[in-house]
Amino acid sequence: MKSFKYADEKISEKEILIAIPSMVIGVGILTLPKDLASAVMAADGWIPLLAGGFIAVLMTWMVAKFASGFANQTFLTYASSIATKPVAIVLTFVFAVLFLLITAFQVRQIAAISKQYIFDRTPLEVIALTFLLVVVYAVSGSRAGLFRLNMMFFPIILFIAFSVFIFNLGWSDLGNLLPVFRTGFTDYLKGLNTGITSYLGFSILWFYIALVDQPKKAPKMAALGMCIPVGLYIMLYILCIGVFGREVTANLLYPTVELAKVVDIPGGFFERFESVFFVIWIMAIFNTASMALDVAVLAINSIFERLKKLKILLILSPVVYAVSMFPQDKVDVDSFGSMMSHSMFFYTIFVIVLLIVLAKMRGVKRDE
Amino acid sequence: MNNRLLILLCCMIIMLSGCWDENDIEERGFVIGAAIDLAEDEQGKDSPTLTLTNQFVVPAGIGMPGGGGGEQKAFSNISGSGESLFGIIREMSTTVSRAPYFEHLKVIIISEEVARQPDLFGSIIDLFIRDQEMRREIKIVISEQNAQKVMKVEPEAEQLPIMYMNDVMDNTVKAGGLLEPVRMGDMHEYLLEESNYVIPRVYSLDNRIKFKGAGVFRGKSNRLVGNINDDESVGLNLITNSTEGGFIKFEINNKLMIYELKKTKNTIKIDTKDQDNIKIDITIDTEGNIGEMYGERSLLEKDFLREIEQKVNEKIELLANNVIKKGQEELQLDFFGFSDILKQKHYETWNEVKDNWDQGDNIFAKSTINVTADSIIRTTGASDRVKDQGSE
Repeated sequence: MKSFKYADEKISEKEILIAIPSMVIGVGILTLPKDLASAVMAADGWIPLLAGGFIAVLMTWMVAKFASGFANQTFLTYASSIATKPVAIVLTFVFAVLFLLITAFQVRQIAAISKQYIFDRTPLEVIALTFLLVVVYAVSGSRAGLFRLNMMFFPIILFIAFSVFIFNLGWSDLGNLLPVFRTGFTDYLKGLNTGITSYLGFSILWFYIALVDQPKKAPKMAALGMCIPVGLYIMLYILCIGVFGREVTANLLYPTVELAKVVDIPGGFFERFESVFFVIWIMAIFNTASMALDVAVLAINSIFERLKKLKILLILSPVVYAVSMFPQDKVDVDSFGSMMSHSMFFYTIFVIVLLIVLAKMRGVKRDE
Repeated sequence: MNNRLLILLCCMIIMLSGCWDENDIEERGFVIGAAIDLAEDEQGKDSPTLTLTNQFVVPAGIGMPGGGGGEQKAFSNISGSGESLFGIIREMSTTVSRAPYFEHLKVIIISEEVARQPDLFGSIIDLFIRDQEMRREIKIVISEQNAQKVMKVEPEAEQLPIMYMNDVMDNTVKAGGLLEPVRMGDMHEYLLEESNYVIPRVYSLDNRIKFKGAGVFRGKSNRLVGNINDDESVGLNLITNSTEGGFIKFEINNKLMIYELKKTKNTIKIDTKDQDNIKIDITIDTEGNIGEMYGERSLLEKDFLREIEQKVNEKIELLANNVIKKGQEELQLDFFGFSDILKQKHYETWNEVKDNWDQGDNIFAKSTINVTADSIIRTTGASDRVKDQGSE
């Protein structure tokens, strides 16, 4: 069997624009309204979402700007020139571990949700394995192919998200959005915590900027791409509150899926919209999981340059599977998710600050 | 290369041939309605014993349109008793050939007897929200008599009693201006927010069923505390919903006249300046036409139209005031959703009064509620007068 070779292994800036939202929109969106509604009053959740989104866009821009200063260099290369080789290896390795955790979390969540709503009797382990195998297959191919897959899936995902939005408008009750601005300050902080952790994933830029055709344009495109999930999340949150009210949203396990279940297409010729929603949403989660796994492979590959990509992948994927099966119940999965996203968030900040400060101190030249 | 292909093919046979969750449609028993009653026997238990009756569709009985379904009935009602609904359903699936499948469940009928029990109603609803087969569009109704009895009605034109009931419910809302059915999604909201709610009541008559009034539930205890009749539920609907449909019957010059509602809009304003005497202003704007008249006067006179509108307003105000009186004096319970408006628009006041709103000091019962109706007659039907004025 031969794998298809693309003419160029470079990615365009448009593909970066799409890759960011494809990475960010994953399983988080299915539970986001619940977590946010339990923290803040009524529709006030848009404030932490917007604030968190602003921070995320800013960070995305910073990461992209910084990385694009080192055209065609891998993270390991420029990190070693800034902060010695051993430090760079450790930094890269931690990134790889974090991305593996993200993949594991996505796999576990999608398996749990599919079991809940679709496959009542299929064991969780089998669903997770099936999903992971497809992800592994995608990652084993060309990297540029992965980006092209994103380009193909993303419009479909947006389309289905908008359909959920439009078909639910009739069910929403504006009264549910009131009262506004009644959330206490500490509750806003709690909401911001949820808001910001739901935007993670832009750290892929540390690694992918090296592949970009024209790095100069990348920061703007990446920041623009980050705006898509911000808009989508705010829209979805307000819709959830409008349709269910705050109390119900805070108590439903997967409000977004329930939202799709509410959809009732007029005419009655097409019932059970949630089945379509599921198929499409699994595509979104597939994008996230495959990119996260790919970055992990890329990071490990940059440390062990001698090893073949496929070999690394085949070593890593059983690890991902084992980690994803590790949490015992839903509570465990949730704490695993929040642990993972928090460490990703703080680690990204840490790396930005560390590299910028060291680069300034040691006077490492970036090609502006 | 050939060997590899062979291994691949073998793998595919294993991976593709089995579907864990396969369900043949022939093996599914579609449940379209469920009735919940108290079981009669077994006294002295801690938790009350329930009887669940599921209405299954029997596809063989449905037959062709026009041709009829032959001898067989199109439905079968199967009952089971126990303390937990889940247990009853599981036990039921051991006795029927087709396992119960609830994705197409339309209506749940709960008997008043069950609804009056303390702490039972909310717990019954739990299963219908928790189970992933259940949909949030399931409608809930209360039955005056035994809930099972309603499902045994054999309508003349329909084959399935529950589908018949579902249609009747839609028609009742459209034609009579009665209350909108309560859906499981709404119910979830009521239960979590502890708001009071009103659920339509149904009763069966030989081969027909009829909706009559509604049961009022206290949100704190989820218990049926009273009933409102048809007129009162029309009044309630005028206050709380912006519905299309319904009619107002009134008398003008001792002659009967019907005002057909085409559009209703209501605005509720709450004045919270004085917390001991909260003022609630309800404005009901309606648009409609003359549906039927018993008099002979021409409807094209402006003065006469104004007079009719005046009468309609009076009647609407009367209907609304009656149900408000019932809420404030008899039940002392706010089932109009005023508390939601307070919470949404007067959050500070709500925080202060919420413990004494319709309990304790009962600020609700003491508040002043003012209803103003404003009706417009758009058209008078196809003809001005149908009968001659005659000579007196």
